[in-house]
Order: sequence, then C-alpha cells, then structure tokens
Amino acid sequence: MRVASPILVFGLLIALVYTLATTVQLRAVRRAETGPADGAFKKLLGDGRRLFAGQFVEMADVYLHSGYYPSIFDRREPNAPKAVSGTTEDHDDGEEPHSDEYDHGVKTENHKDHEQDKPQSEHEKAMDFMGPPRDWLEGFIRRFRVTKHSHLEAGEERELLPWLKVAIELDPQAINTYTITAFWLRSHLKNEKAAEEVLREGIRNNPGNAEILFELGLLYEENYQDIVRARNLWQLALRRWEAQSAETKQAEMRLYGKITANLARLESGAGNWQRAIEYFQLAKLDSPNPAAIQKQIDELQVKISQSTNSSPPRLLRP
Amino acid sequence: MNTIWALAGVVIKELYRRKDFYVLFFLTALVTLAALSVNFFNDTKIIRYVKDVCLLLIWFSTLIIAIVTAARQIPSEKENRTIFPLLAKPVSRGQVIIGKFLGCWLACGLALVIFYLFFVVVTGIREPQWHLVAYLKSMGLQWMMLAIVIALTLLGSIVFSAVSANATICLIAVIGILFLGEHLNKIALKQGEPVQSITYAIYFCIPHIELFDVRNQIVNNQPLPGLVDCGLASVYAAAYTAALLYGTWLLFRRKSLST
Repeated sequence: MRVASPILVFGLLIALVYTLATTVQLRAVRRAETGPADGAFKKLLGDGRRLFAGQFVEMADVYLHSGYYPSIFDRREPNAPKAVSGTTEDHDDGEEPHSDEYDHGVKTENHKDHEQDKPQSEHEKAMDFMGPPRDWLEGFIRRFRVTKHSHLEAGEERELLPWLKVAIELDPQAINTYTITAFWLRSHLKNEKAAEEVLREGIRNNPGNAEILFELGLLYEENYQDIVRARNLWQLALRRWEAQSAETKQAEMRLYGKITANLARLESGAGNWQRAIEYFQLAKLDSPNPAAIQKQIDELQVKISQSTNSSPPRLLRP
Repeated sequence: MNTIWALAGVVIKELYRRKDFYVLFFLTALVTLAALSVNFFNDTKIIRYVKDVCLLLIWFSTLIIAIVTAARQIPSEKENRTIFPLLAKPVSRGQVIIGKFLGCWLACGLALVIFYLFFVVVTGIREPQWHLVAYLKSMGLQWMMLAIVIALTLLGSIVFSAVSANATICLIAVIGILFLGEHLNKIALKQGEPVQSITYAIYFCIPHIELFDVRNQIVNNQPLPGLVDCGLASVYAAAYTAALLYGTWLLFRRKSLST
C-alpha cells in the first residue's frame, strides 16, 4: 500500500481545519445575534444565580444609607419600604415625584402630602433599629459603627449602580431591578440614555412587561417631554396588563391604577377631558384615596360643561 | 531585649522569603484592578464597590498571613529541632514567645503597609480627595486587631498538635467573632436560662476583634472614631494580647519539647 506524502496529509488537515473553523464561526456569530447573551454569572452559577439577586439589591440599599443598615440580628420590618426602591424619597425640592410614591400619580396637594409622609415615616421607623445600647460593650462598639441615618445625595447615588447592574445580571426576570435602576439613573443622575438602555434590556428579557413599559413611558414623559411616545407606551402597557391572567391582574391592580392615572393626567394636560375622565374613573377603582380622584373628575366635568368635546371610544376595564 | 529583636528579625525575614505574601498581594491587586476596569453605565466616578472589594481582600489576606505565619512558628522550631539550640543560647521560653509574637506582628504590619499603599493608589485614581488620616486610623486599628489574632494563634500552636488544625480552628474562630461577636448579646437576650447567661458570658469574654473593622466607614466616606476611641481600642487589644501571650507562656513553660 502506498503511503501518502506527509506534505499532502498536512495540507489536507489544514484545509479541513480551515473549513471547520469558517463553518463554526458563522454559526457562532448567528447564535450570538439571535439568542440572549449568557453573562459570566449564568455560566458560573446557572439558574442558582437568581437566589443572590435580592442580596445585591439590598447591598445597593446599604450603600444608599452609607453603611447604616440593620443586620439580621437587629429589629427589622421585612415589609418596610426600601429606600433604594425610590418609595421613601423626600420631594421638598419641588421636583416631580416618581409615580410610585403617591397614589397613581394624581396631583392633589393634600393627597400628595399624605402619601409622601406615609412611606417616609414608615422608613424612618424601620431604620430606627438600634435603640439604646444594651451594655457598656455595645456602647463602646457603636463608637466604631455608622450610627446616623442618611441617604446618598448630590450625584453620589451613582455608587448604587454596580450592585443594581449585578442584580440585573443575576436575575434578568426581576422586573423591580430594572425599574429601580432606571429610576435612579433618570431621576437622580440625569442619565436618561442609560435609563432607557436598562429599560429596553428589561423589555428584551421580559417581552411586553407592563411595568417596564410604564416606566419607559415615564422616562419619555418626564425626561424627554415626548408626550406622544409616553401615551403610546402607557396605552401599550395597559393592553399588556389587560392580556394577563385574572390572578396576575388582581395582584397588579396598583400598576393598573398608576397607568390609568398617568394616562388621565396626560389626556387632561392635552385637553382631552372626556378621555381623561374615563381614565380617572378606571384609576378610581382600586385607589386608596378615591375622593381625591373624584375631585379631579369633578373639576374636569366643570371644564367640559363650559365647552364642547367629542366622546372617545370606551376604554378597557379590569 | 536584643534577644527578642533577634528572634523577631528571623520571623520578618521568613515572611519575605516565603511566597504567601506575594501570592496574596498579587491576587488582591488582580481582583481589585479587574473590579476597577468594569464599566457601569459609562460613569467613571464610581469607586465605592472597588474600595469594598479591595478592603475585603486586604482583611482576608492579612488574616491569612497572620494566622499561617504565627501557627507554624513554634511547631516548625520543634519539628526541625532548632528549638533546643535556641533555648540553650540561653533564651528563656518567655522570650521565645514574645520574640515570635513581635516578629509576626511586625511582619503583618509591613504587609499591611504595602496593602494600604496599593489601596490608596487605587482609590486615588477615581476619588478627588485622599482620606489619608482615615486610612491611617483604619490601618492602625487593623494592626491592633492582628495582634490579638497572632497571640491567639500562638496560644493555639501550643494547644494543638498540628499546624493545619491550629490554623483552621483559629481562622474559623476569628471569622466567627467577626460575623457574630457584636450580636451575641442580642442572641443571648432571645434565649432562655441558662443559655442566656452562658451566651452573655461568652459575649463579654471573647476578644471583640470586629470592633476594629471600620471598613464600612472607609467605603462610605463616613467619619471614623476619634483618637481617644482609637486609643481605648488599642488598650483593649493590648490587654487581650497580653492575656493570650501570658496564657501561651504558662502552657509553653511546662510543655515537653520532644515531638
């Protein structure tokens, strides 16, 4: 049997390797373009990574309080509002409040004050976990601890971002992490582009999620002042909310209220009073303060009675 | 005193001859620089997570250096039979204990200075202010804490037969105190008698090395305790170190040196 020349065998192998490499490379590129990118955490920890995501959000909360934070051994209320979620912000500066912070975004002075005070005082109560020292040793150890309750401000909120980013990487299905990250980016750090990227990433990982669509609408309305896009996004969020199962809808009535109240506010500002009334009526269904919304409806009805307006099509009801 | 310094000098030389410090420093630098290179939303001013990671690694590395260096001092002298000519110099057993302690403590101090220099440089890249006084206080408190750890490990090296057993038990004890030490009183109050009294007694007896951990303040740019408090903490550390060294000497003076 004749033995093939080594040079020919080598050439054949080179050709084979080159062909394989080009084929595999094309497939790899195609897969990277279509499928979701696997981060380092997914490769390392698999689905178990989701267990740690909450810890990283808590870490962001620890940073927000500059290290003043209850340990697992301290008195702590598990359901107390977390400052990092943006529900305990003080808005004395006259800035537009985040819609989470007061009832469905309805602007009624008394109502706004009441709703802002409530989470703030709850938060203060939850963070008053130290109490007087139990013994002289604890008193001495406290001299080496952060003992003052404060929140990061003046752009220092940026220090939360690494932990929130890691939390997103760990659990891409945790909706709150996207909305919290976007909230700090757009409201405190004035980085609207990054906020939009985070929310769009959230939509990619959770297609059609009503809460992220609502948050994106807020970004367009409050930061870009793009009313048309905000309206479209909130209407889409409303449709997505409607498409959910009855159980999920019941659990997310608060989101429904926020979407409808913000749409009502938008329509009211645009002069579409009849449509605004309809949205307010939807928002009133699950509002903790329906009287405040009714007041808004009454005001709009007075405006309508003073002018003429065409009736829009009926809206979705939960 | 010259004898003690000579013994300490040997331990310091051992630190830079062995590779433990270099490996731990390299790992700390590598992980810190990797953390520093990560881009979060194109914000180049974010630094606190880097400080957090770097200080955690510094704490971990110096604890490892302190425990491993202290744990093998007396057992290695016994194993190599160099303890006999050493004690025949004449050097008393008490001088051996103090010399070994001082050597380990100074060696850890040197390692700590290098680690903190790296920390200052890394944080200086992104932070507009240099909190040098705070860093000095933090380093000083950490060094005092290491004195207790070294004394505890030297005591362990007399009690336990194997270096690995001593190092492991000391590391677990130190980590346990760091995590639980200051909360033992809260845990005690939730227990019934006699567990409550026993837990409370443990709370008052153990050296509270977590007291010296001011990383939280350094990371979050919070004010550190004043000089008086730092001085009191140093006295606290010195008292525990002296007690532990005295205990070590009591055990060592009657200990048979044959392995």
